Amino acid sequence: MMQTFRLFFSFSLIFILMCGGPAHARIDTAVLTETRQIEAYIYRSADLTLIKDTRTLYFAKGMNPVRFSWSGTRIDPTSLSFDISDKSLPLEITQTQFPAREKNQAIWHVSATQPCRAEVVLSYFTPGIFWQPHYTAVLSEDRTRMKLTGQVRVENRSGMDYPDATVHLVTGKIHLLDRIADLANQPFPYGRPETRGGDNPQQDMVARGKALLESAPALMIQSEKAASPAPRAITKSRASDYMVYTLDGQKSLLNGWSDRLTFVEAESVPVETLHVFDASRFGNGVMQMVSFTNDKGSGLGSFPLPGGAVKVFQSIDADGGMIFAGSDTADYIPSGKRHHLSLGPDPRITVVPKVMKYAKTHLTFDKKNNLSGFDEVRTWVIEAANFSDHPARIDIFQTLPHPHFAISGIQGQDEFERIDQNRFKFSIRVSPAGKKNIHYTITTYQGDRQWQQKSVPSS
Amino acid sequence: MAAKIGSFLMKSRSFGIMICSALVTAGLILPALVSADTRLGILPQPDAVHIRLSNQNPAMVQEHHQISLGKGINQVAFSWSGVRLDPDAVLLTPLSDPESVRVLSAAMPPDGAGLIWQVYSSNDAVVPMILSYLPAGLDSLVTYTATVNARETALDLDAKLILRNFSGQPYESATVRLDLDTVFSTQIQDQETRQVSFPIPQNPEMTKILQWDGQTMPHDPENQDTAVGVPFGYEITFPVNAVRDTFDLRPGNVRIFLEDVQGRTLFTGEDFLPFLAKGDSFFLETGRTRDVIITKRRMKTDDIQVRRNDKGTIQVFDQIITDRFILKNTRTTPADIRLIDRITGQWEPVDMAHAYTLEDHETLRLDIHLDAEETRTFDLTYKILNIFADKFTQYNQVTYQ
Repeated sequence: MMQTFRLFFSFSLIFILMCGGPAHARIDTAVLTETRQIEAYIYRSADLTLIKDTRTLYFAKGMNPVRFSWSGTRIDPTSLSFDISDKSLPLEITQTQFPAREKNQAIWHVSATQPCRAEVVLSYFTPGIFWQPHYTAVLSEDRTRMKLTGQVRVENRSGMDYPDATVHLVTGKIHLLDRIADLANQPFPYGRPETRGGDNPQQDMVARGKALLESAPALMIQSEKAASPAPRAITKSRASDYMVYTLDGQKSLLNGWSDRLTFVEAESVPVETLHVFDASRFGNGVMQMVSFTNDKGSGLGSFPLPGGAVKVFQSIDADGGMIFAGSDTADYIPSGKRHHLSLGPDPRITVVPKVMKYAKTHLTFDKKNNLSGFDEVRTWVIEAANFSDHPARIDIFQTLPHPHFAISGIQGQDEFERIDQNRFKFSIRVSPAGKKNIHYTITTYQGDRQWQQKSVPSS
Repeated sequence: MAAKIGSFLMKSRSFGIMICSALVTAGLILPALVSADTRLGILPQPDAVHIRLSNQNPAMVQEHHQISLGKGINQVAFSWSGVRLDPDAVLLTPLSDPESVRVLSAAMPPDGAGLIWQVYSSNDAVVPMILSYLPAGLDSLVTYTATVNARETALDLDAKLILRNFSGQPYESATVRLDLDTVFSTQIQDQETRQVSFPIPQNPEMTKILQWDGQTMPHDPENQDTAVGVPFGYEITFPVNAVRDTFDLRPGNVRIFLEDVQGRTLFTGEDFLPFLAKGDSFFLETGRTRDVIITKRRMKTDDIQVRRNDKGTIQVFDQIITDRFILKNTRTTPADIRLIDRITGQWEPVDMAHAYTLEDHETLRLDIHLDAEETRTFDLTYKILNIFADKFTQYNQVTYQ
């Protein structure tokens, strides 16, 4: 079975033939029209896809009711829009009708002063179509470069096929008042007031029209346009604070299927491998990180990368052999930003911080001789060892619970950085099978000493 | 049609993974595969299958295939049934000129158990490709057997790799790669477990020690209802200058055997070895001895330098403490003991009758050699400073911050 639901999706024109003057015969009929073009704007931050369905219709002189109905899929009726592309045509949309006791139906009343053909655009929101970026990174054997491939998986669970669609993938956070899926499930397009009206005398006619529509054959799934020998290009563009990725050519979004399409591929992204010890974030393990910059120099262009899962592999030979090195989830990576991929703890690198000496000094007492403050002096050694076969750069972060401290006597580090008032970082490079120790002293001020710290002599 | 390809493949086997290539006229897409123009290509058996086992990461399977491609756009289908795969981690990598063969895109059918790649080829060709995936249920364990000589001076370490295949996919002939140098061939059926020995190029160095930790051991064992015994075992270390192809030891259970002087092999215990990198050390506990008795007694506590507030409440004071250690070796052989004890807070030595090494500010390590049937007694006297008695008492314990 290609689809669980064989969906009916048809566009009908119920038109009234005006036969010379006020005396006219009225014929209700349904004209199945072919889609000329479908555009799908699939949003990432919400379960929302904007479908723009362009068709050509023939309008007779007089009032033309244009009926649109759907089943087996969900459409937010409050988002339905019907537009005539050429505003110079003698057409006017006088009103939109949501018939009583008929779910999933809308009728536009189009008045024509002259018979004509017109291109119309039907647009609506529908849930159930998703896209999800994910990345594959293959590290070189020496871990100095990686091949980064970004792909999007476009998945259609809407219950509806969208053949030969132009697909736009939209990133950025949009503000919504209601979930589109909820709006699509409402029994009445805009809800209902407390009181009920009477039955609609047009009910039978509408039912007949609907039966006609539902007896129509479903659209045939059409062939995709000729494929190019290159992967389908994805054009990136900005719209305000949103990024839009547009797939080149047409793409059939078949219900139930998902497609993986490459949107970025860089053969040789320079990477730096480093190890991070941060007990406040990772506990006692030393995390292995791979960092790269999202910029032109890396071959990644000048656009942000949407967030997604990253699977990292490590090349082990020149014959395509590789092992799985770890996975991470990348958040949105703005252009020019350096990003760190975490590959999990590396047992070959160890970092052991130790307090080698502890003392309480500068005890202070208040006027009643109660203990009111003191300094804690800790002499630290951080023992770092590299049991791997490669040189390792290790960043060691330390976080203190309050900013009332002084650090002194730092030895053994390659770099030191005070990140903020509570955090600092050491960086060291350790050769294979090598060890390195960092020594420093932290004086922490407690009680009244926090107010007197400027009087503390530096150690 | 792609769905039909998937169905076709899945019907062909109850469980398993299958790859096939479908050559179609360039320009047609998946639904068009049902057309008369479609000709299903060969169902290639992989030339080689590699199971890559890396430390602490899932097993990765790499299949080498020769896939016939026609000029233009080809469909290469890969489906699985009864196998759990992460479809985002299934990679198809052509091993040819990237300009002549390119993977364009992939599609996944509604049942989510297959992938169909569109592969462009500039010519009719048979192209080597690697299919890589991470099947759930395929993993490995390592177990060790350590055989210690009668004098307990050397240890022979054997390792076995346990390959467990509960992935749903049999592997008739696979090359299993544990690390750069440990590669072997095997076949393994679904729901089968195989054990394979692999060599450890160089045995680690070992030292037998008894390890007494004051934090966990009773201080007065002779007055306990049952004799607890002092843990003993072997500290193993790969020397830093180990041969190049000596690799790290993966985590696993170690069963320890002793070859006694009569030539018997005695099981003496087991322990869990965590990841042990080259050059690192680990203490494998194998049992407890009741022939060495270690007693710790507090002999004296003096409060000094007592400071009170105006109401007479003690604010701060120091203590001088004397702890006595009594070590009895009732055996007829010597014993090497590692004694670990802790002194918390701010302290300084006063009269320490035995040499010690500071592991950190509060942890003392004493390495003690006892001769056969020797009893040794020594005192450690130290002063704890600035003990808070009224306010800030939480600072009598040192925190790591």
